[in-house]
Amino acid sequence: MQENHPAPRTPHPAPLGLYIHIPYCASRCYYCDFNTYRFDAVQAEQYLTGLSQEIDVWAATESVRNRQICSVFFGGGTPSILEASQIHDVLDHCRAAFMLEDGAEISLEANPGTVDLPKLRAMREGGVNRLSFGVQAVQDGLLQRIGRSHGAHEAEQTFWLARTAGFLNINLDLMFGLPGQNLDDWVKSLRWAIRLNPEHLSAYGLILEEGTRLHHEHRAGSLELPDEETEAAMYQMTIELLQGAGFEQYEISNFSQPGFHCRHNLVYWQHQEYLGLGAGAYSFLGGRRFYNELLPANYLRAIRERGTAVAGSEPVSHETLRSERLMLGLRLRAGLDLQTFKEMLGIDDLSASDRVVRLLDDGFLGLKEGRVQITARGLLVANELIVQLL
Amino acid sequence: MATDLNHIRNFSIIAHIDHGKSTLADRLLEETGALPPRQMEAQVLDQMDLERERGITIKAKSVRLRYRPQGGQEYILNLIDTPGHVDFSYEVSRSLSACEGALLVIDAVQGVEAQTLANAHLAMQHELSIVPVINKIDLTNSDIGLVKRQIEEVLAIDASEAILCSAKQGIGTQEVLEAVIKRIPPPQGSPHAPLKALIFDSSFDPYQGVIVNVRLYEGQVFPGMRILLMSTGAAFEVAQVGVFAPQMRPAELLSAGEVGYIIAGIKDVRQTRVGDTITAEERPTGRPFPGFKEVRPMVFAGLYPTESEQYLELKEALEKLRLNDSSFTFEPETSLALGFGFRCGFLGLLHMEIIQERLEREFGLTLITTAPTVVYRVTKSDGSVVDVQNPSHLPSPQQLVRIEEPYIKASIMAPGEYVGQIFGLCQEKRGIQRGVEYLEGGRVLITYDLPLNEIVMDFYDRLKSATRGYASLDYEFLEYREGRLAKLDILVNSEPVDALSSIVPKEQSHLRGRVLVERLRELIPRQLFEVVIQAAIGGKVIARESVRPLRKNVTAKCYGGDITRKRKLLERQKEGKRRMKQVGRVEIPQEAFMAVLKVHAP
Repeated sequence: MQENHPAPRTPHPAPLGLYIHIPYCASRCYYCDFNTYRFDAVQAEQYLTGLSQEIDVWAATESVRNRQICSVFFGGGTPSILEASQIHDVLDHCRAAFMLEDGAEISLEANPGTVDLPKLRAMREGGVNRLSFGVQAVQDGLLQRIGRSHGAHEAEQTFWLARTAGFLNINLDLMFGLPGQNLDDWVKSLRWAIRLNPEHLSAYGLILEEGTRLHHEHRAGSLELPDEETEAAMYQMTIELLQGAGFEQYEISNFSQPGFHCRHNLVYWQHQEYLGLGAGAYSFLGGRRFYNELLPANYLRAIRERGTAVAGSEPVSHETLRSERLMLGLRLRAGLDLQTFKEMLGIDDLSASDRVVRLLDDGFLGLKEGRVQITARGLLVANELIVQLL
Repeated sequence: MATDLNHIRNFSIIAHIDHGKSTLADRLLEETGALPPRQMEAQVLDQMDLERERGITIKAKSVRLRYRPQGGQEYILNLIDTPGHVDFSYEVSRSLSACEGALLVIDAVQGVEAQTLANAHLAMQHELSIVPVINKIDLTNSDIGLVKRQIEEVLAIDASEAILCSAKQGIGTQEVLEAVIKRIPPPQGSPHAPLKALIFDSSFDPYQGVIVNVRLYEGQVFPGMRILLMSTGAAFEVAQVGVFAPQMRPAELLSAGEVGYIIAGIKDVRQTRVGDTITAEERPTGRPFPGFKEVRPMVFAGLYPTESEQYLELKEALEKLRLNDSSFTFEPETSLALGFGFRCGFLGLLHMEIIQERLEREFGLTLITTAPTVVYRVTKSDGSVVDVQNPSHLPSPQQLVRIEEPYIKASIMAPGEYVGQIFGLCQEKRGIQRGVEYLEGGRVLITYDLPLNEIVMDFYDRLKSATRGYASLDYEFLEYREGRLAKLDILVNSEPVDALSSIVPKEQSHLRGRVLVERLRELIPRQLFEVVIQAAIGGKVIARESVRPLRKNVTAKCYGGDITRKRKLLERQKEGKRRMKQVGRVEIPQEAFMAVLKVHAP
């Protein structure tokens, strides 16, 4: 990057998504295996300094400097644990260093209880235009059971504060399949969310990830999880209730009001490129997947020593690309266009694959407007379908 | 080359599995300098990876050792390593006939076991001089006195001169070498008589063709000479002769009494059958080696590629394996359920496992193996007699007059307290008791006539678990006997799956049908739709189970940018599917095809 006369910036046709990882939380939830650590104001400050350096280094690279950025996503961790001014600074820096599209989606993950009205206002003014609240459930007992530090009442209050602060694009995360949760609890969570009428809803099923507290409890046999039948009913109920309330299901676990699909997540699912900054962040850039040093201390040292913190990378082979496009594309309700689908399967005609014919005949896959989609019936067994096609 | 016969000894080491045969062989190689210690890789003679891993010898081979006793003249000691498993008993018998004596290795802790007995009897039949060697005497729980009493009482061998040894520690190995010289007689036979050589093994080398392992009884063989294989009448010109030391070392000639190899441009191991006699074309011997028989596979199973595109690869791999293994057979077979594959014949279960493992390991194939079965001899109503190697080919009851199945004589040795369990098991396995003998040290020798098919099923595993691993088993083929047998069919979603058919005793057919469908219900994973499994005899359904459809398998979680992790999760699921065969619309895992073997009342 030692050019005397830098070439004028001509936008690369495909825009990039930008992910910024904030690896701090007040406490770890019992189901969480994400890359996050207990919040400490001093460490966070140092971390942001490193992040700032990383922004500069990447912004100057050939693979990024001519790319439009269509979305910025602050994920974590709990990004809202930072001061609004700190977020503001990071965003200002991004605007200066990258080519942010006008109207780029700028999302931030927040936990109820970590924000008040002034902070929300400051974040809005700083440029954040989409908030994603981790609500998970509306029963205080269930929330405690999974280690959340807020109650249902707090979640509602925070939601209205966000509206007051001018946020017109809000997502709520809800979780089903929680220990002790029954179908009725879940319906209440959904109804509560529908009443708040956010622009976007994510309904995630609990997954017991190794190393989490719930996983330990499960192995010790002290976890009463809903049975498979109940879980299936919860998922079906989600689709039914949310669609009835005017939400469009555009991905396996994501729903939105018309026009409010999450731009950032679509980058992942539509197999577009993205740059991840911060500890443990993943990138997909220039045909390679790579990831940063996981531990904040290692991340900072790497940034200091070599400007970036890439810890590992793998080229995406043709074969891998094929599986990924299938796996990601079919998660979208819109599915894959017929041509891409056939290419990914290496067939000229759908009838060339017995499996595809069978899945279409049995109504697990559907063909609509020149696209192959997983049907409503197929959604519950989406993994099985994707695996059969891989 | 020709050494004075008095300075040659041909011997083998025989033992029950794990009694230390290969370790002793290694030690002898080391002591005689055939290999310097630093070049020793544990168990030199077991060259195949599989042999080393499993600690068993699969192929017979020989090695030439030079040994000079203190102040004496040098001796040539030919150690002929024999396969250590009942599947290869014919090869063992041929290897033994190439020797004048045998070291009978017995574990000082385990004592005499079933294979010790079988091997000792075999050695006696061949009139070999037997030198008992009590091995592992360094172990604290060894009981030399007891083992000596067992040797005398059970084997009727004088144990007073048994050699005490620990091959692992190198204790007693000099005494073993001394005993080979003093207690095993030298070979006899005239180098001037017509050539008479016994084939005890052969292997295939892509550059030199078949390498035949031989023991010469009479005459000489040398490059340029024309030899005749007596069972086939095929003649070849000798290109090279030599000895294994332990690497192949060419020699000018091999002479009566010696052990070595012959290379003669032979292209196919099936032409050099173990037990055949090689003689000179010009001047054939009038006395070929007696007792030659063609080894016939006893156990058959279908081998199918999980991906049908691998059919040709499988065929090529089978052809390559057969280059080295004349006792293994295969022919194309078509299964309605499994598509195109091969029906393969093996000497026994171990042989089958070895071939299967080599196909997967060395050739990278993914296979579905159907449950092994014996060969049934079926008399049809038109009077014709057919061999049935595949249960699904059993003629219909209307066309069937008689089914006969192979029986074996099983010798089981175990501590006395397990007699009850062993009787129970043999009873369940349709055994006929032939004898019970109480031996020194509280052990019992039990003999039964048993259908070979029961051995092919789970007999050995069940015997081991019924006796906490203490029982040992050896068996030999007896004869074909009529059985009251019926074909048990399995239907999956109303379609018969030929590869799951089995032939079962009539009186147990209902029970086995019920247990089998239950096992299959556990083994067949849930699918997108319900899977109904039925057992039927003669078209009549006798048991039914169903696998309920997959209800929910969806990852409703956001992994953010970590697409790789998400992909790997799905790829792992995909990997699991590779081990399954699509039968109609149902995916059936490999284990299901083996379930037939493990069907017994709970």
